[in-house]
Amino acid sequence: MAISSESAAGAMQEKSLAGIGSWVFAGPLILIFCLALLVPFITNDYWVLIATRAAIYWVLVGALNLVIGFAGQLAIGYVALLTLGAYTTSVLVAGNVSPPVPVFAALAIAGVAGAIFGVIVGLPALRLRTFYFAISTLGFATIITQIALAWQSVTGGGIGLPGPEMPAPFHTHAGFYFFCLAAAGLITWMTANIAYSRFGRGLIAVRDADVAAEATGIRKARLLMTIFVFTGASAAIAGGLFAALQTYITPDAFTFDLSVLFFISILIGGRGSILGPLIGTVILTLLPEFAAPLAAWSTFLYAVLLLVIVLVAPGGIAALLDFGNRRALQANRTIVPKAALVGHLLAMDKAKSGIALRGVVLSFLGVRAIDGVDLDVEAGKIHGLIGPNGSGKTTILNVISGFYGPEAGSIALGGQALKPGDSESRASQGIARTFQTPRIVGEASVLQNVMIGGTIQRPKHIRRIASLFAPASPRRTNAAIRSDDRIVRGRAGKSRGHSRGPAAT
Amino acid sequence: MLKSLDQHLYVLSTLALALMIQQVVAVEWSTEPQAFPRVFGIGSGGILDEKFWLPMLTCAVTICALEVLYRRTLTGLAFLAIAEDNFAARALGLPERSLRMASYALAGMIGGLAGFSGGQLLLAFVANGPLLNFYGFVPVALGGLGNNRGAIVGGFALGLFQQAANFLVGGIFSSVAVFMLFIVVLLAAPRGLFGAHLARRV
Repeated sequence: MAISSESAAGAMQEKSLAGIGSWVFAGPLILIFCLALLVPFITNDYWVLIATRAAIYWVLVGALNLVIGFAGQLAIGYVALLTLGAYTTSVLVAGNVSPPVPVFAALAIAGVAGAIFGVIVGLPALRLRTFYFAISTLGFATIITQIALAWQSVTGGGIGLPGPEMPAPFHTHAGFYFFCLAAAGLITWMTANIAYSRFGRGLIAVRDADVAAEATGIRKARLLMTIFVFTGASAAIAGGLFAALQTYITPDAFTFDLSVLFFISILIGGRGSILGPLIGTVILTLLPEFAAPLAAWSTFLYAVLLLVIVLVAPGGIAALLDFGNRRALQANRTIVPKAALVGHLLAMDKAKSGIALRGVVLSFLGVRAIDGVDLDVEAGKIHGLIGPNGSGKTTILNVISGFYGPEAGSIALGGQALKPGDSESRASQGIARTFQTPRIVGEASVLQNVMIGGTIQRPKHIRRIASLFAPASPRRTNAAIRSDDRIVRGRAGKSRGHSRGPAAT
Repeated sequence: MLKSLDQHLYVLSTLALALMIQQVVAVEWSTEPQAFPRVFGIGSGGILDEKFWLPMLTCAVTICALEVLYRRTLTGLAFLAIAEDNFAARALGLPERSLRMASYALAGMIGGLAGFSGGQLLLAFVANGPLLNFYGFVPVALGGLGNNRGAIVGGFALGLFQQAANFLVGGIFSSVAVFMLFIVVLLAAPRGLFGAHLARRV
């Protein structure tokens, strides 16, 4: 058995898969951040303003990247939450509806409001696909602008109102810039913690293989809503900072062009990357400055850029920069099954209870697919379910794994009734399934695909909120999941192939 | 061009082209509302004005034509087949690509017709875009995607609801009410009011 073929390169690549904590991943981000720190010292106030704008956009785009880039939801109307945050902060600081509120408290309140509206905007994502969800976010954006125009007593209508004034030491251009840059850095760190933990893998699985995601215990609704809360809050806080930058806001400042900028930054950056969208945001913020005579055409330029990316490089900047995965795989690779390890694995996780079906009935319109099935699957035995085409074999499997709820009858695991039609709960009860056609996350490596199975193995102390701030915990969990996986692979590093293309479903 | 694209890339390229067209229009003809010429010049003033009956007539003709297309002609059935199960349709020898192209052309034509007949009422105005996009989409989602009759009922219901909200709570909040209704209906009836049953996913 070839056990000792692990090369140094293999180890490096292995590390970069963990994402967070790896220099390959964090290096470029830290480099960009350091360069950004230098901006006030080497340029004038004008460029500091532009850089501040880029940092504020990134606070929004960085979070939105989880929705669009990782979860694959085409949210195009996020200018709505920027508007909401900008007006909430400005109105509170100006004291139009209440006694004037300090700037930072107003920003925090805007964040809470953004989180609430983030969920409202996100709700349709649970029901609507692609374009339809895009339109519903667009509708929200339109409505927010209309309200800002019409609710004159509070928002000042078309005349607008002054933005919040930052207290010292953030009142100077440079001071405010460093504040925004810190916010941008924090967002980058938090999104990286989410993106490269099991939450991020879960989001990608929901995007690329949602049925398989359910079967591995990923709770799509809860996961998406968590992300929408985070993104809504970040977008609204970005809005508050944006209002402070503008010093005076009117509904005209929040055109749909801004939404387009956010959306296209992420797409030209590339899905499932943080570095790519960051570069995209910087490019799109700078573009109108270098093409000043074309300012009226900026949306047109963005659209052309989007079209070019879609047609020429669908992977975006991230795919162009992803040198590691473009390297050719080692020639004459062999995959050697290790029979001994199967026994080891089975010994680790011995089934203690059987599955029992009693009187299960399910029909599709006029066709009665299963009609009163009684079935016992005994612990520790391999069973085969055989029958002619259309006899209901797959339907029975779907009932057991919760994809269909039966009309009558019960399913029990070890004497305990399983909730009918709740596919997301099956994995944590120890029921796994495969599919007739492979359902693979095409854009993830083999190892990452295997790691998706670790979603349900959450250590109890990791809570969703904690994972935003604690890079150590996702890293530790990742390491634990990876080491499980390595047992299967016999620590050989043999199957570390990246399956782009051929594995795509 | 369409051949090499994934589902989500389809959406994006459509969006990119729409934005480009919108921008060209905005820059060429300004973002101010423009008057739209009278098409026939029949019936002036009052409720019999052309700007009222022309959109309704166009709408009725379009509905009837689409119903005939989808229910009575082979081409219409081929469209449905491609939408329902593209692999099975190709296996039966349907030219997927040209059918898709034709469906896009047809949708573009109907869109143009709508703009033409509604132009006098709405004026030629760039800022109409997002609002029309949204109000055009809500009835479709409410009625059930891919269901023409549902969309018609949804459209009438939306119009009545919006006017009622306009009357009861005032202009600003009528669009808020429409948005809330949209979300509530979708959460209660994810497939729309008359939508098809959930297709088999597993």
